[in-house]
Amino acid sequence: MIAEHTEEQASLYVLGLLDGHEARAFEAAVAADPELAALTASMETGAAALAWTVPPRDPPPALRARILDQINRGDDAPAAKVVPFPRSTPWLPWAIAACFAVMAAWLYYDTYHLHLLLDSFIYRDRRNQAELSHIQAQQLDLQNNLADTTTKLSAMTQQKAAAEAAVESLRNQVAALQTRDTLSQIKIATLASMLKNAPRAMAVVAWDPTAQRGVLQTLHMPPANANQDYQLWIIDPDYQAPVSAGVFDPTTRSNFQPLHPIAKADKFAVSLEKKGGSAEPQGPIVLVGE
Amino acid sequence: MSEQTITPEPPEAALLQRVARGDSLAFDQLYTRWSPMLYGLVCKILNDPKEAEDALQDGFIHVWHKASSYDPGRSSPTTWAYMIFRNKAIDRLRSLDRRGRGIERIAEEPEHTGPSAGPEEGAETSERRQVVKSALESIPPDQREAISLAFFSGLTQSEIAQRIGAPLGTVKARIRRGMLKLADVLKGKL
Repeated sequence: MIAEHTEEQASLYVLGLLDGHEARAFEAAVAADPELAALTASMETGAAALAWTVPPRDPPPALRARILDQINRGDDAPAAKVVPFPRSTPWLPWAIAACFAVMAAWLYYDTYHLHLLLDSFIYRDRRNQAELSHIQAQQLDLQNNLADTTTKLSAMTQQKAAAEAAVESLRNQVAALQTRDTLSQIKIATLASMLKNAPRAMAVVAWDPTAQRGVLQTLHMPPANANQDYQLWIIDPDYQAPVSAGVFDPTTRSNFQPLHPIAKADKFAVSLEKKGGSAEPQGPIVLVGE
Repeated sequence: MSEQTITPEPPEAALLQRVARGDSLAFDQLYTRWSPMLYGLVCKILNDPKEAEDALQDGFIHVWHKASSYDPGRSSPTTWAYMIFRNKAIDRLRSLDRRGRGIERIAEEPEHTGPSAGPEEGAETSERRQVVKSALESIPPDQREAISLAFFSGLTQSEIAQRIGAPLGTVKARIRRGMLKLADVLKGKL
């Protein structure tokens, strides 16, 4: 791939529009680059095409003879005029010639050195331009990649937010289902009165077998004597005797927890026991229910 | 009844090879073949018959001495010759300018004359002129103008920019695009 600047140099070179230094530097570049040499040759063909547009004209016949005569004589090189020096100073022409030779050598060396430097700068400039173009292309690629990655990241962030929302929704649904499941396991029992003096007395027990806890609410219960307490019992077939769920105050709603783990709460019962309660039912049963 | 034998003309590249070996007969043949088109070219550039004659002489002497430098892989013999004679004429034009003998530059636009109005030329040459005419017509006029000025007038880049009233960068870009297009269109045709 030839840079635009180099193409421009080639076109200007072919048309003789580069100055001496530029032309020499370009010729050096052409010598080192076959692709550039091919481009330059094709441009020369393009330039020469302009000459084809000029109508031909016959030159004067005498010109042919003049040219043929010149090449046949071999004297086409212009002859240098010789100016004789005075005889009295025979060394002077040699001295002047020597001075000129030294000056010419020095000028040649200096010019040659300058040309080398210039060529070096031009080559460096071309290389730097090529590197700059390469870096700019890489920068453009990176910018495109960054834009692409940013777009993808944005899309992924949105996907993540949507996924989190979905997970949260599922969690809520699971929690709701768990609540519904827990409620479905709650056992509600109504305990009826066994007391003749308080036939309207009753109690409602809500029992959560998973949590092994329950709530007791009594109604129309006569107060117990000062030396007695009402005590709640749970009848589980795994145990020979009812399991105590503790004494309670009949005037308020009570939370209870049985003394032993309950696998199956067949029945609930309330008895009137001595103050502080008993390990097993000893007093009369006042309420019972399934 | 006698048989008439037609001997084909040797190719220009072969003539150049012979010239490189010092064959003056081959040189004479090349002169016969090339001098009308090259004289037309230097006349157009120099616009002065005497100067054109000198340029033509310089060019052919150059051909005599430098025929061995012709590279057939690089260009056709005609392209090679055109560029030599064009450069000789431009050098002469600039030299005249420096000596204060500037002559009016005549070429600004190529003449789309098609087949020659001058000396008789072969069918091949006529065909080439048609190819070139088509190629030049394929590039935009502003590019063609910049290239023509550069080719025929010997003006510098800045002088061309001043002549056509465009910035230097624009002139360079026109020349680059036009030359690339011409090179592309004419690839393998001349």
